[in-house]
Amino acid sequence: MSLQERQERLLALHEAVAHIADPHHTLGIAYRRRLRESHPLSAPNWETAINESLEHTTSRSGLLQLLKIAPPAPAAHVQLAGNVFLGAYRAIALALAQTSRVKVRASRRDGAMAELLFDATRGAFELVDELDAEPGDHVWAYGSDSTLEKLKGQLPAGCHLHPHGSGMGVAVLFEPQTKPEVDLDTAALGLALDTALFDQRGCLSPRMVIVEGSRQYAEDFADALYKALVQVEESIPRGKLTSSEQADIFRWETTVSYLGSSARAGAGMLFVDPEENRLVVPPIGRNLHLCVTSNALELLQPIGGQITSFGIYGTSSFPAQFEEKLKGQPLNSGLIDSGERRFSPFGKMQMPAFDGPVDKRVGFRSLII
Amino acid sequence: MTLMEQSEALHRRVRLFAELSLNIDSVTASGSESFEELARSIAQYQYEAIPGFQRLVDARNADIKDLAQIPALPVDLFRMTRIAAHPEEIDKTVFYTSGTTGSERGEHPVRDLQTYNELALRLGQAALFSHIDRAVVIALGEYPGKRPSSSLGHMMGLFMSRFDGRPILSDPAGALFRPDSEERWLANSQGIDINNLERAAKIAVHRSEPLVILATSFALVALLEALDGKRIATPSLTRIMITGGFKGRTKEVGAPELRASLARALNTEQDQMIGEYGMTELTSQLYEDQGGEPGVFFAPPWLRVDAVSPDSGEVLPPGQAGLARFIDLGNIDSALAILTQDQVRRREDGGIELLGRAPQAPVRGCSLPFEGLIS
Repeated sequence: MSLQERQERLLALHEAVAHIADPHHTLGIAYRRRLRESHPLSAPNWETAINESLEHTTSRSGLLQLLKIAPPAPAAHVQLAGNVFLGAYRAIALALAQTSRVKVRASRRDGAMAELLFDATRGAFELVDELDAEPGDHVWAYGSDSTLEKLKGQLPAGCHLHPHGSGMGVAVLFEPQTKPEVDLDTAALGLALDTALFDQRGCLSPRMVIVEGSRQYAEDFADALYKALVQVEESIPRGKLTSSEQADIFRWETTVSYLGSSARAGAGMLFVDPEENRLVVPPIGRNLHLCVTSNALELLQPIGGQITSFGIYGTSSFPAQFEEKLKGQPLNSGLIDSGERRFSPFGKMQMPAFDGPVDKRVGFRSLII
Repeated sequence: MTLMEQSEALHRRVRLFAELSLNIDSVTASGSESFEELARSIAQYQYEAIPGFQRLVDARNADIKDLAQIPALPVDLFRMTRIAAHPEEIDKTVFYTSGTTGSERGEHPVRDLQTYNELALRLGQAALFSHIDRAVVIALGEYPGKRPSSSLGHMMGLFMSRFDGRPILSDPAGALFRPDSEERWLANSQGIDINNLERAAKIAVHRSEPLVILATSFALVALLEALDGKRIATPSLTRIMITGGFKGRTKEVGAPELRASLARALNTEQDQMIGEYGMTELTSQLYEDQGGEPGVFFAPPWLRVDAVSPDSGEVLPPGQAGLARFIDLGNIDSALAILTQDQVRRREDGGIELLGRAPQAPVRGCSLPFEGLIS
């Protein structure tokens, strides 16, 4: 397995995904047909996601950088979950960066990206129905925490498991001491886009908004955010929800309507909590819980393990402080302690650099079975 | 009428309703109120007295004269905020949830314990102590103290006082056994106190009275483990109230297996085992019929239980499974209607089948599932 071979396969994959991103290419047309048939997101949502979040515009040098940083492996296996959607490309690319012997078990529910990439690359990797990892192999697993726990019990000793489970994004605003650096409307629009993409189903999707500052500042931002969510809804409507998701929303809406005044913002709801320092993870579907605090770091510390990414607005040493205090916290799955987080400005939370796995809490680290 | 006067009047009305409803087959006697009338009055009072409830009703544009439209509060709310029409200073007590899921504990403030006690005792009498004048009553639970923080502990103590209530100056073991004695509470961090269980059984035999054991399922499993096949000599009538599931604890035992094992160990019949269902967030309880089908519970006349659709709260017809929605006339100062995450099915005969927690559906996305309040 030469570096040359890995490079060729990786570039072939990248070329294929560029075709998938192109709405006029046969691959792009085929992909969109499959999404239209079965994907719960609205067409404008997945089209925006393809344009903004899919890594097809990564430069050649950026892509090849992966070859240097991915730990080599004799073989790599990728287990994709139905929720990974566009993330199948990055998942397969990371595995190809490690080795040219890559086997991918696509999701039965949403295997379109993996299948099209397989067809287009003429076998840069194998598509399999079941994993058959051997000791020493690397296994990249994407799914729920319970799925990962189960998989851990099934893998042979000596496998390297890269467990990528559930997580969420949190948006944090720091009230400026002097004039604002960016106006609130622009910030709100960015956060609304971050929220709307994937209808909050991704592990980078913001679910809570924390405002470190005065209540007035929080209310001002909330006003801007309401308008922005409505505006974004017009161009990117919310897609279909499962009955379970609807049930969660019903329960949450009842709860927040009791707690304080809430307002529908497009299809979802933005709740400005009248009580400070109360953390609530609302259900997905474009629902946001805004909490005011005097110390975001202290507030979020206890749940740091659950947070994959932060959207940051306002100058602060928060990112550095957070990383210092929270590295090493166990993740939800309990399988591995957390590493880093992603920090992005509002509007870029769903566009992580192609510098490794999306979830840097795990990153390239693995658990040896 | 001030809000306090309204509350006190409602408490009197509910207590009277409970008294009359258990004494006659149906509450149709002239001058007696119906469940619906009382529920509407309580809903109206809570609308006026509780800002949160008012906000919720207004947000839903609900007509609270229609019982089906009265918004039911998700039990999560009891962990997130105070649910009470009265200020904290006049709490008579506060009941706390057990917090077994590791998150914040829920709180149910109670202003008037008289109503709570009367409803529990009336129903307990009918469900557990029918054809029993006196019994020796013990609990397989930890001593809750003089002011129990758990509603279950409080209720168990009530039953001990009312249905036993006699100190013994001497007994076969030669010691006191007062109704408020810690020795009636036979579980602690070390496990089940088999010695005092045997002692209670001997006292009951000595008095020619039944033995009534109040216990959670989990404690009964611990009892069986502690007995390890041994059997206890009990009086001919030994009755067991079984409550609660296993709520996240590691060892679970199926109900039929548990009852069969208990029958052997305690020399009693399975038809003397009566399931009880209660929650911190409710004032009222449900019981299985003695000798009836296990797992089918019946509500008292002051409690209504429906299965509702999880995504709309709409009441489902009998036979369909849904989330449990309670309208509890005992919850005068807190929340008339409660929505849980327990699944139930309402039968045509009014029985309520408990189907367990509503399963959390797999998340479509790698985003965290909906958690509500996180500590």
